[in-house]
Amino acid sequence: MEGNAVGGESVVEGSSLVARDVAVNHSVLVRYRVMAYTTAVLLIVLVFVGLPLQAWAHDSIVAKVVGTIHGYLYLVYLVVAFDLTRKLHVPLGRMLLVLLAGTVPFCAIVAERKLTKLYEHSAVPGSPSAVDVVGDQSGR
Amino acid sequence: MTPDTIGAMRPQLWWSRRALLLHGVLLIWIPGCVLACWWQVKVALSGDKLGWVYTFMWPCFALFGTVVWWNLIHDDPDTVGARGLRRLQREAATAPGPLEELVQKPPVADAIARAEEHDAELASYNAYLAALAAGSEAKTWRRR
Repeated sequence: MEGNAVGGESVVEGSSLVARDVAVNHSVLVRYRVMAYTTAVLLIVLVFVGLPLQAWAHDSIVAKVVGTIHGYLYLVYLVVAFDLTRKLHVPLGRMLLVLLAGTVPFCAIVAERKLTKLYEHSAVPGSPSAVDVVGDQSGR
Repeated sequence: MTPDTIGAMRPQLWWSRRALLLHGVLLIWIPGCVLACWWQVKVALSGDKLGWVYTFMWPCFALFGTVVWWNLIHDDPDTVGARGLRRLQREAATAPGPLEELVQKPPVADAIARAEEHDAELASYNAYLAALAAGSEAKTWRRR
């Protein structure tokens, strides 16, 4: 999967490859979106179904099963989110927010919208950059 | 390029302020994961089987943190992140390099044109293929 990506790692100093380097392979975005929605839905089920059942009905099976699945799929989410945010040149602070979004209900959906918008901008040459869409954290 | 030459070009790789900050974060993150793992082992041994799930998850978090640390250490700030993006866009705006010129005018095109001059059948077949390519959608689910 890494082989077909036009990532930030392949920059050759002084080469014309930089013009295409801002572009990111669509599959990098797709796998992030799949994982973002999966973790988001599982977390919503866990927090709004599993935990109430555990607290008030004393039935913890939903919380245990969904919590386990979410926990391990969140690891996958971390990997694909790290990959996408780096290739889209997202500033470090925003990257951390995207990674943490998988642990707060509904936040992964917001992060997914932002990154998809950013991807669509970056796919068009001369369009607003990551700095314009998600903000510049570095202060430079 | 050997690691030695990279090190000579970027002597600050491991000891820049940013790198030291990353070392510090990792030095907190790894023991934190170890403690959380140990805590879940104790939970699991005390009877809650769910603890085993998280016992094996925390080492994965530690590993992920190490991978992130390694990647961020080896970042070239001029090519990664917001600063890298600005630099890329600046360079892309100023210079259409040899690659773009090659794409615009492939040398193969000249050879094809010469061949078509001597071969009417080839010329008409190429025109037919061009019409097909112009008239149909790309056969892929990808947008690009």
